[in-house]
Amino acid sequence: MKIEVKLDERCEETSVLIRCSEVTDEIQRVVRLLQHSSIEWVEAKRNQSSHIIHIKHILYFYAEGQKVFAQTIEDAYEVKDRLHVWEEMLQARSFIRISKSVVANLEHMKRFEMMFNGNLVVFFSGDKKEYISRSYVQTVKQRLVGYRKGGQ
Amino acid sequence: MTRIIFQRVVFGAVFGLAAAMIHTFISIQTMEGQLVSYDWLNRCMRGYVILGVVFGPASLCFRIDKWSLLRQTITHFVIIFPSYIAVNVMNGWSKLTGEAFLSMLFIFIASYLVIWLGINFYWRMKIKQMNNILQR
Repeated sequence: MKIEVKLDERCEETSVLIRCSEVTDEIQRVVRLLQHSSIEWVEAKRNQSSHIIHIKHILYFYAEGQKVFAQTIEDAYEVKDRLHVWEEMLQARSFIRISKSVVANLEHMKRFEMMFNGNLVVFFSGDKKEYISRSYVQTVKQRLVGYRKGGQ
Repeated sequence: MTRIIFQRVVFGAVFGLAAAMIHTFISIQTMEGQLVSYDWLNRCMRGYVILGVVFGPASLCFRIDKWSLLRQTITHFVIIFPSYIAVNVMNGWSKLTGEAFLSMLFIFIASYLVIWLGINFYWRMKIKQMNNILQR
């Protein structure tokens, strides 16, 4: 795919135009990424009341049973979409899957530890912790390197 | 998952056959002038194929993400050790005396311990690298 960025000082609103002969899976993925790259707020519920949480305050999303929760330093809030939807929506941001049931925010990762039984654990802000699957470690490491270098 | 188990069983059997061939070849080279009997060959093939069929899918327990490394290793040991002992005795490779059993148990535990420590070291290094990245 050819990517072209045109600089125009007179441009008032940034726009993205995709020129293609047909809408392929790749095109759809790019469109989704662009649409979700601007997500700032997440609608969530807790104790039957609605809350709007800024994406930066979310440490990780986790699935428990059929429900998905967004964990902040203070509390966990139930969110609407399935975990894979959050993963897809936020992959352009600082979020990455760390196990089958957790999508975590790289920005809030503080340290990694290995337990005696060989489980790998990642600690987040507020000393919240989650297990990280060994099969995701390499991807997390690569994203961390990129994130620390380029900020995403 | 069933497909993966089946694939591992087939790979294990093929690998077992190959190991049996190598064992036979080495035996022929070392048994100067003696013939390898049909019974010996049959037992050798059967033993290695059974071991391959068990060993192949057994390693899948290391792919169960929600299990800890310790649980994966212990489960693997619990599958592998009895099947190895059973095949060994069934094929007449060794007699099941208390001494033989204990020595095999010791060798197995020692091997698993070394592998466990190796894997543990590998992951500790990985964790250290990742913590270094976080601290940059």
